[in-house]
Amino acid sequence: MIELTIDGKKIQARKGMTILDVARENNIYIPHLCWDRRLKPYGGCRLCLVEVEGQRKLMAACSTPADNGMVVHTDTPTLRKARKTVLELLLVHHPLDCPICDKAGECALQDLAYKYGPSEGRFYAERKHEPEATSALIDRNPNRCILCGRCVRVCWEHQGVGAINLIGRGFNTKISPAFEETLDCEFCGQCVDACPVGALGAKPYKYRARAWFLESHDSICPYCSVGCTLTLDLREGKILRVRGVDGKGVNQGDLCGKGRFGFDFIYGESRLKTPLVRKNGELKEVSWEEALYYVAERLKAVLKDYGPNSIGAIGSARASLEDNYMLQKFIREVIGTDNIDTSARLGYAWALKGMEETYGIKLNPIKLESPIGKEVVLVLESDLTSTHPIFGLKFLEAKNEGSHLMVVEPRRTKLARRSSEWLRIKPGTGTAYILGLINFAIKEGVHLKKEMEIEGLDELSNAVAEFTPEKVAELTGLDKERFIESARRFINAESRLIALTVGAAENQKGIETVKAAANLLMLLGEGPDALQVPADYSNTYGAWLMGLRPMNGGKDLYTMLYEPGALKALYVMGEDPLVTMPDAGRIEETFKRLELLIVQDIRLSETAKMADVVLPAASWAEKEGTFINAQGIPQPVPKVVSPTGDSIPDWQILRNIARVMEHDLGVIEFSALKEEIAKVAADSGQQRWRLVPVEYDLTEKPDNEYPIVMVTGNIMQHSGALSVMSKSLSHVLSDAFVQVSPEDAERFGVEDGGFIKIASRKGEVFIKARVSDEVPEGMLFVPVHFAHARVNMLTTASPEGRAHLTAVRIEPKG
Amino acid sequence: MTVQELFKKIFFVEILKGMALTLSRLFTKPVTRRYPKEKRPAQLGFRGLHALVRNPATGDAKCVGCGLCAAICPSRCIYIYTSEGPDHQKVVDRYEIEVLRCVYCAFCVEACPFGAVVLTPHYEYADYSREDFYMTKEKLLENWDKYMGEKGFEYFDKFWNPKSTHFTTPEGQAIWRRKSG
Ligand code: SF4
Ligand code: SF4
Ligand code: SF4
Ligand code: SF4
Ligand code: SF4
Ligand code: FES
Repeated sequence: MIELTIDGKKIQARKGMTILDVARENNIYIPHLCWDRRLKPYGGCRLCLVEVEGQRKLMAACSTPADNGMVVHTDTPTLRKARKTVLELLLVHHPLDCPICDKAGECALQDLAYKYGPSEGRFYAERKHEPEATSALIDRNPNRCILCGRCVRVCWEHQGVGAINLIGRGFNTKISPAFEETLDCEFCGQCVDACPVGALGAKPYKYRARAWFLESHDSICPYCSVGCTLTLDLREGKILRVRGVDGKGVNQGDLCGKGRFGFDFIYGESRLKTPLVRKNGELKEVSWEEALYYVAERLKAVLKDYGPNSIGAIGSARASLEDNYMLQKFIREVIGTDNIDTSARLGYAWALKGMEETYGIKLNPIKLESPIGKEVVLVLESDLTSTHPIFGLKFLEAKNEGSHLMVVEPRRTKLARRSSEWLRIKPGTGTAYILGLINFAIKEGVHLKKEMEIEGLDELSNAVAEFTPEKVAELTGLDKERFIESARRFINAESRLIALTVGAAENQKGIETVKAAANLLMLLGEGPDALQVPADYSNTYGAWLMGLRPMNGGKDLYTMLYEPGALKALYVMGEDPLVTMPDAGRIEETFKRLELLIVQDIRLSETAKMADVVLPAASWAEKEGTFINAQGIPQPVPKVVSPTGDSIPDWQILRNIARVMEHDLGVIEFSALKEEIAKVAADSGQQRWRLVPVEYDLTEKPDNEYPIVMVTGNIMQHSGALSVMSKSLSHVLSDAFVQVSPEDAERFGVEDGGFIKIASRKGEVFIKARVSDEVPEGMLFVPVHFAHARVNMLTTASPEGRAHLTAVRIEPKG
Repeated sequence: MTVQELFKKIFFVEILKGMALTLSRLFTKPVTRRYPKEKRPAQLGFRGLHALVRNPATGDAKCVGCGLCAAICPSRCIYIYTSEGPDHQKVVDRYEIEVLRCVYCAFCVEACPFGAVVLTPHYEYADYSREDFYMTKEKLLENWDKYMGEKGFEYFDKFWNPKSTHFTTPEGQAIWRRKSG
């Protein structure tokens, strides 16, 4: 602890804080432009000058450490004069086009010039850079830039990208991507929020409104499970842009591209406006009344003919708690069956099952800050910065703060690029790598030092005995020495963490991966906190808690979707299995054999096109609700815009159907629904550690006929059904593609940008190839959620929750 | 009561004095004007119906859609909608004033950095429907032609002499969307 005086106030501070940090903590205002909480001090703008007694020079508060006994003045005539000069110089070549600059009204330079600046400058110069208006989402006007470097530093230090830099010198310095090309980055938009002036802007918002026309509401991002707080700016009831506000929400103001630009899916052209009922083979617009009676009649008929067990429902990992709760209430109380599930079955459910078998716990929420301060952080075959971008950032932050970031991954992901150690394994062999580590740890006797008894050690050590360093090296394609070195580091670390994702879209990991990781951690004496497996979508976790899964022996998703004939009627709420789930051919067959397919969605999805009746639901931001994020935190999502067309919230649709079926669900109002949900208790189980043997086997092995392994997943800008409806995100990327390694491209005669045929044992599809060294030889990577590409016709589902890689063959489209 | 006062009371002196004035006025010219037959010209700076200034160089409105007038307007009756044009310039799609809500404070005129909006001397615009008082961009430009025109600039210089007229419209950066079709 140190003590210093700022403006006559005695203040206690911690060592290592800068004067600006101390002042901010104590609500003392010091102007600043180039400082950013997330970044290292830069000291470039000289606006934060303060007077320190005993120092002849004025000091930059943002980069001067606070010292014991320091006497600081933040507002004196000298300082005012200095600030005035700094501002005058900043304004020398500033275009002062505030009347057409979108930043006006919320511009730091404008505010500071108003507060401290001269009303007329003595110098005048002009810069004539070409503004860049061609980039997809980020608008750049170098003439307005004050060269504070915040965007450059956020992009490199914080985002780990490094897409832009300051180029040129003197008056001609400007912000630009390398070689002045059009910006082509991951479009997170973090630089836009960081820019204090109007030099960087969000393209979709360009010239749409002045800052003072907007009203702001905070909401929760509808995309991934991090659950970032978005600040929505509306004008006349329409969302125009999304910002992250420093310090707000679990994300503390950081946002990824999906959260920032993806909100416009609610204005997508494919939004449903009225209910549709199939008449003479075609979906026809009908009134709500007609649709409700139709649904009720048909459901009653199925109930009468085949009984409740012939009806099932699929909920949504993206719909609110309330909507999901109502669906299961409807299915359990009105229909009287336990056949209910969500897409979590394809991923998150396996992670939880794996953890229950090992740690004995039923829930394991992540902690966003978990990687910070760990000695070794291992990311296992997961592209965290794409699937959970803000969680992913914490791994970069951990590395910046000194953690050893090990990335075990075939693809050159962002984390792999920024890692301390990248172990480029063959796809799907991450589990083998972990089993190798377990074997190694047992051989080294590490577990013996921990003095604790965990049951199952013998079985486990037998099961992993074959995973010797040689075997692991052979399976994963790593160098044996490298493997041993990394194993030593991991095992001998003081503290450690394993992070991986399991998602409906991913096929290279499964329950065995989770179990292997849990075994390893238990062996090393680490509790479940060291295993970070985030839920995938905004409300996967919540839907799970609400009981959207068979609890009393009902049929699960695999039975409902992959066993044609198992059901007679299916109620699908907010899910598009035909596009987002594997083995689409089989799902299609199941749908064809149904007597009644009811789809309730915000848009006419591929699944909806096959339905007998389609009910339009209000989307995110059009209704009140709650999401529970991967940390298990419930966060309210307010209604900020009015629903599209005749759509109403999902829970109201279900309430209304129940009414027409003469069933009183006892819930009429939202508040009553919320009260009922508050009573649902989460059962997180009791910790009881057990080591369990893990079988490792690739379900589909590449062979001569199908020599390449195809990995599916999500990418940065897209994560499924919502993002493809967003105009902005599709602007960056709208075409389905497959990544092919340069080696394979040469071997099979594939050209970059050309169409290729991918054939698996299931079928074949045509898709555009992107030759990229992001993937290694012998591997394809395909994002799954572009409906027109239908790559999920090729894949298989694994009802045991195993990794289910697909072996394929490629050839140019002839 | 003095004798004098009593005298005045008895002989209605005060009233007679008044009557005398009335009588004398009967023979002078009347000062009241017989509106609407006889109209009085508005003085410089009169705050009548709104108009958007037409830029003689382009023939279009001078306004760049900066929204300052709308921001200052105490009755919030100015609506401005802009968007990005084909050459990435700022385009003012709509500029509307709900005249019935205006309090004629002329803050909008003062706020405008380009001298692009004015209150004209025109004050006779009573009408039968609310719609007639909803001024669109076209109507506002027409108002300029009808009620200000060239003399408008003089009015600006003499009355407002605003700093705003010293600013030129940023080059190539603000245009008006032409009526489509
Ligand atoms: S959008 Fe993100 S990745 Fe692109 S330049 Fe800005 S900060 Fe960097
Ligand atoms: S573009 Fe903005 S954030 Fe980047 S250096 Fe210029 S002023 Fe700073
Ligand atoms: S990290 Fe996830 S929750 Fe946060 S903005 Fe991105 S998609 Fe939304
Ligand atoms: S005169 Fe005053 S009330 Fe009327 S439009 Fe202008 S600012 Fe608004
Ligand atoms: S202040 Fe002037 S330039 Fe700005 S929007 Fe109003 S009329 Fe147009
Ligand atoms: S904020 Fe300290 S120099 Fe810029």
